Amino acid sequence: MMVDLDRDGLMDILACDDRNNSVILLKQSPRGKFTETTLMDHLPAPVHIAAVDIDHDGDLDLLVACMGQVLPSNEKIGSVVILENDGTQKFSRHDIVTDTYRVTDVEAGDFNADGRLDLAVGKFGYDQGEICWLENKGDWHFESHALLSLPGTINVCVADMNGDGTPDITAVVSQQYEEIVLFENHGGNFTPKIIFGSSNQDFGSSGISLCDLNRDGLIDILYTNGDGFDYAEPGKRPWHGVQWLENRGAGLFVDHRVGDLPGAYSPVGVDLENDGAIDIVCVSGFNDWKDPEAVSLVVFRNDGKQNFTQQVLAHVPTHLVTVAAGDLDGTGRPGLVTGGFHAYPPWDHMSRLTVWRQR
Amino acid sequence: MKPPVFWLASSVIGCLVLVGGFYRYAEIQRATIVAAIPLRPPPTRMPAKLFKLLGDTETNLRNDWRPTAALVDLSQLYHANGFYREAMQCYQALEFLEPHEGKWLHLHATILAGFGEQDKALPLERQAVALSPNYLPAWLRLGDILVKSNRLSDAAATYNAILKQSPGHDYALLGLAQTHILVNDWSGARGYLEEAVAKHPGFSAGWNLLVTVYDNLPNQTLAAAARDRAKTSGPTREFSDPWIDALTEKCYDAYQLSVAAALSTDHGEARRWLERAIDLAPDSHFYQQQLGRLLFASEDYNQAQPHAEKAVSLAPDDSDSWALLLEIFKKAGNTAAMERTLHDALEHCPTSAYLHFMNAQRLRSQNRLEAALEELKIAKRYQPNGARAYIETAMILFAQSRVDDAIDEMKTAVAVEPGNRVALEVLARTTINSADAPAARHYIQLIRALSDVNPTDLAAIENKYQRQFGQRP
Repeated sequence: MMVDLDRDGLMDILACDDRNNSVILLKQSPRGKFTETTLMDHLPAPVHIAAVDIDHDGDLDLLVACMGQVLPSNEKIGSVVILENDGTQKFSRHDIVTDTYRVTDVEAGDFNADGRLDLAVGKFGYDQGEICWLENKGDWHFESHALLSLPGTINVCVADMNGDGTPDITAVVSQQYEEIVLFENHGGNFTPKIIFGSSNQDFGSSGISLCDLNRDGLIDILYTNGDGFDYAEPGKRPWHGVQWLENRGAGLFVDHRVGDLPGAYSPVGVDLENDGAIDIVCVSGFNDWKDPEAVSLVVFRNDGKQNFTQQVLAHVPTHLVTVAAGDLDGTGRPGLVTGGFHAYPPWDHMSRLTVWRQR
Repeated sequence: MKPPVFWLASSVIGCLVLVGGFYRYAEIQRATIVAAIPLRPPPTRMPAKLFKLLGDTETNLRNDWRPTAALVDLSQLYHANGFYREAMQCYQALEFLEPHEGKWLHLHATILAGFGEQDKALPLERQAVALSPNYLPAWLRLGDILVKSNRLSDAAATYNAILKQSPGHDYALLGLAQTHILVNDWSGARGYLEEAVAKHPGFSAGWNLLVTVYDNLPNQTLAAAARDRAKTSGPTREFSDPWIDALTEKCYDAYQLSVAAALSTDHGEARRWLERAIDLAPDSHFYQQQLGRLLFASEDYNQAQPHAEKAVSLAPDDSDSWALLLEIFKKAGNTAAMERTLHDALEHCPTSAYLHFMNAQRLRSQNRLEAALEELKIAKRYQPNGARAYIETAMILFAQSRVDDAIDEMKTAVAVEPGNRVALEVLARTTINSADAPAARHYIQLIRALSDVNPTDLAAIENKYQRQFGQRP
């Protein structure tokens, strides 16, 4: 993710390094120069970070989702870790939840309106899993409340989706369910509602993010299905692609196919051309990488009326599973950072983190 | 009385009218079908064989006296090979031509529901079950569409309709359980699932959901038992849908064939699908490896070996293929081939944790313990979250009487894999030996909660505890 962690006016990059079990910071200073440091190691397979001032002391703390291991496991090896910032970007570790199903996402929101930031947690697990929210009781103590006891959650997102002024939780659940579920918040009591569901158990849900795509004041959902890590040959499937779920208000959503994209992952809404229309940037984690024409980074350009045209940004590096967008250079023109996950061959165009600047 | 010539003339005219009518109907039918022929995707998007078959089928469609049969062929070729828009175009025409056939509606709805277009799929599937009320997979799909549309009471009614036709139907009971789980009615869900697994003891999806139900009730003892049954019931499978499954015969997509093979419970059929996948994608090591694994699982090591060797030659940097080949040599007791292969494997895959682990085992068997420990260090570096290398390290350290170091390794194994029975049992025994009663009790408690606990081993540990501390743990 991109964030100005030290609030020096320069965008930094935060990343999870699953192989080294660490969270790393690429600090930008001076502009255009990045220096890597390890913020915390000995984290069991960290896969997602969010930056938020959880203790209201004026600096950004980090919420870390740890899977325990990325490869399939039904063991309770997941954990939720908060890295508390002392204000100088030195972090102390709080293991909020341990020995639980593999955790894939943690996001913050004050769900019960008590002034403290609570946490929404997605636990992929494997045969069993869970979505829950952790009520912040203060002093780094949290109480868990189950929302959905099914496996396969990839992302949880927090925002007021139904316009009632309270933060709701939106989650994408893969495995055999392939659903997007909205948990509408009523003061800490949540009502689940399926707002998208595929009957194809191999649909490959791979991520969601939120943005007001059509700029109607309601937050929409960007959604990719491109996971191809089942059965024998990891790779593209004919149904892989990108969708957006248009928020029509009052908890009603209408899904629109944006386009096909083999191995689609990590949808991000960003106005790449500064033309007032939000485009959708995605990467491909699973494609026919032996084919030099296989794409790894694309943008679906928005004509302002939510008609999208795909533009290929890159064919290499391959095996990309995450992308973040932000003003890296202070020019007002968004740049991108992508991250690779190389769990299957070919190995000839590998990358860890790559910065993409607009020419 | 009219003369015979009148009757003859009337018959001829009648026949001509009928023939003309039939001809007219056939022409309308042909026009409908020809209009429904989808634009064939370019040859770059499919195997040459499929492209040719589609072309031949289109020709049949235009010229054959039974164009509907050719349209059915075309729809199946498109559907089976992932050309869904084209398949749906064919199904729409078939729905028009055969308005009393539920199959086309069901296949059409299945594609739509697969893309999450439940609002479009719902009316089609409703019509499908009305036309083919005895075809239960259509009812199951309808139930699933209704669940995903948040229409839980309609879904429950659909599943109950299945149970009327087929009492104790596993997937109908599973569907009913899901409608209860979605409203957190764990007791309601429990009843359906217990009935399902009682009638179908190998029903993996039922056992897995029962784990969740017992966890939430909560009843940890039943959850552990259900988890155990889920583990031994194999992979979770979707309900069988013969109309969909039959499409595999028309499939020229190697990946789809490999999926069909992975899900098939028929060894011969799985092998046939994989051989066809290899025929279609001869340069892919994945299908060679999958077929090798299938043959290995059936203990046909001689047949498995050439497929593992081919997989290795196609992708020398794929450690899984090397691992399969090594396992085959190990089973065959071919130590020389194993040594040679392991050397080659590590040369091509120097970052494979599993291959370093295997090398460590080889070195340990030769009593080269320090070298084995070095290999295990590498294995742990490349796969820090797997228990195997820590346990192997601990066993060597125990053999070297480095007990404290060995215990640390076992503790790490448990940290990365809390349910690792071997590590927990070793830790229980060592803490009993060192007279650390609280720690021993802790590990015994963890062992008791395991789903794969071995009662004999557990009893032995409990007896050992009693002998050491004079009381039961």
